[in-house]
Formats: sequence, structure tokens, C-alpha cells
Amino acid sequence: MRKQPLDPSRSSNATKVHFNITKDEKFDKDGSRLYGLHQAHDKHGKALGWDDKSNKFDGEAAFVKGKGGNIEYKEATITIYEGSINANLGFLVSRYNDPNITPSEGIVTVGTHENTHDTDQDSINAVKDRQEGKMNPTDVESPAKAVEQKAADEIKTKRKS
Amino acid sequence: MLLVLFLSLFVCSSSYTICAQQKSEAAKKLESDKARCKPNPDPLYVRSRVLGELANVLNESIPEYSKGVPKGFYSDTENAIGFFVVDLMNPANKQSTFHDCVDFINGHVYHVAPGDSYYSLSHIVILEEGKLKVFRSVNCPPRGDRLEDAISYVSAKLARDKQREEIINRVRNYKKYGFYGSLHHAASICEHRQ
Repeated sequence: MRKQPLDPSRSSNATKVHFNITKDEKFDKDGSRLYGLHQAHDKHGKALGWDDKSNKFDGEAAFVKGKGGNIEYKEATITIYEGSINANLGFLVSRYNDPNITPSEGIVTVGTHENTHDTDQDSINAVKDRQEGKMNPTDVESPAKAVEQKAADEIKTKRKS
Repeated sequence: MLLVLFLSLFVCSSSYTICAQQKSEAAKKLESDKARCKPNPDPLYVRSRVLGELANVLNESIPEYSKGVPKGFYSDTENAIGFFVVDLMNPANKQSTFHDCVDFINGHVYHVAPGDSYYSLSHIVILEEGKLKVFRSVNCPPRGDRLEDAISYVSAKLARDKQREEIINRVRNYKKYGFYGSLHHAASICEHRQ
């Protein structure tokens, strides 16, 4: 596993991100092959899982105020399952309608998706609201999917030119 | 495919040599695409048309998907983009990768769903005399049809079929006959709506 904590001072996001690319092939609870994951950490630094029923993390995610005053995750782990990408690249082929996508490009698109979970303000606000018992129906997957798809489209276009 | 040819012409307009080469490649791609799948064996159904109709069904059932992917679910001549199709009467007959060529056969029962587990609301589709009978989102009771209704319907349809019990079991366990991937910590759009 390659592990590289990013230096928060070099980005506009205050979150300390642990970015992992693992050779593991991973499966979700429901048997789906897992390609990537974003986990917020609690105040003790523990990476949290997701509670399907409450639609929020299964613990208290820790937040900090970013430079612009926005609420951001204090710490998060992003994991890209390279083993899953290598085991079934066809999932991404069909997902992006791109028969020429490579595993490396897959790592980029999946990473883009997971990074959006870490930076999309509406998504962060939704998670915080739910954690505080407030209703917030925001679909946190749509923004991540949109940015991921845009990255995939740009990679495809760039490759052609 | 016409768009590909058009873009090839547009992109390479600055150089005749490159242009000719790219046109040739585009033409080759067109030919190879045409040749990949044999025509659908049942003349009642045209593969590309059925794939397109199934994509439309999914877009109607799962409008949230197009927020992330503006094109939504769609198909080209032989591929399902963003979703899979599995024939529950013969699970080897499927469309889950760009190497597959699913056959659409009258009377057969199919499991159709998005490959992304978050958006994956399962549809049971029966081909009937050129038309599609669809039981929508059977894994999401708040917004879909009941799986039991799909099972009763298929059971009645297959009353005289020797494989009836086996096929009904597959409909009941439709989730096993699917190809899923996930980039999410959220379980499914169904739970999200609840």
C-alpha cells in the first residue's frame, strides 16, 4: 500500500487527507466490488465507516473551519482499490463508455470521485447536519459522480487528440 | 457512430494525411463494431432498440442518475452504458461488458439494473410479443413494484415450462444475477430516499 499524507498548507482545503492506493481487491457488505472509499475521521483520528440506515458516518466526524470560514472535515482517508480496478476494469469501461480506459486512468477517475466527497461543501454540510440530528436530504453522491464523469470525459477526449 | 466519423473529419481537417488515416480508423471501428455481435436471433426484437428502451426505463425510474451523468443511462448499437442485462432463463446470456452480446428472446425474463450499486434499482423485464413488460425497482418498495408481483406474473407465464421452478428461483434471487461496483459509502438511492 502506498500511503501519502497530504500537506494541508499546499491546498485550499484544511482537511488532512490520507491518500491510499491499495493492491487489495475489496468487496462491500452487499457483495459489490468496491473501487474507492472516502472516510472522515473522528476527533481521535479514527477513520469512520458509513451507517446505511442513518445515511451518515457511524461515529462523530470531526470538523474544522477552513480558510474561507467553511466547515471542512478535520481529517479523512481516501482509499483507491487498485486491485478491484485491475480485477474488473470492465466496470469502468461500461460506466464511462470508454473501451480504452487504462487502470491508471481508472485510479484517477475514482480518486476524483472520492476527493469530491472531501471537498463538496453541500455534501459536507449535509453530513454535519445529519450528525447533529437535522434533516438534510442532499444526495452526496451526485456531485462526486458528476466530477468523476467529467474527469473520465476529459481523459477520453485528451487521449483522442 | 456518425458522430465519431464527423468528429474525425473535424479534428483532422488541418492535415490531409492524418485525416485520411483517421477516417480509415473510424471506418474500421465502424465495421468492427458492426461485426462484433451477430444479429439478434429473435426477429421480433432488434438488440439496439431493446437496449435503448431499457435505458429509457432506467432513466424514468432513477432520474437521480442523470444529475451525475448528464446523458443518463444509454446504449450504443451493442452496449449498455451504465447498466447490465442478465437473462434469468439462461444467465450466460448477458450484457455486462463490452464483450457481451445479449440476445433478446420472446418470452424470456431479464434482470436489468445499473452497475453502480448506489443507483442499482432492479427491474424485472419480460419480453412479450415485441413489447416489454416491466416490474420496476423491485428492491425498493417505496418507489417500485413488488417482487412478489413479478414472481406471480412470471410463474403464471411459465405454467407449462419444465424449468419453471429454477427460473422463479432466479427471479427471487435476482441480485445474484447482477454485476455491481461501488465507489460509495452510501448503500443505495433507495435508502437515501427513505
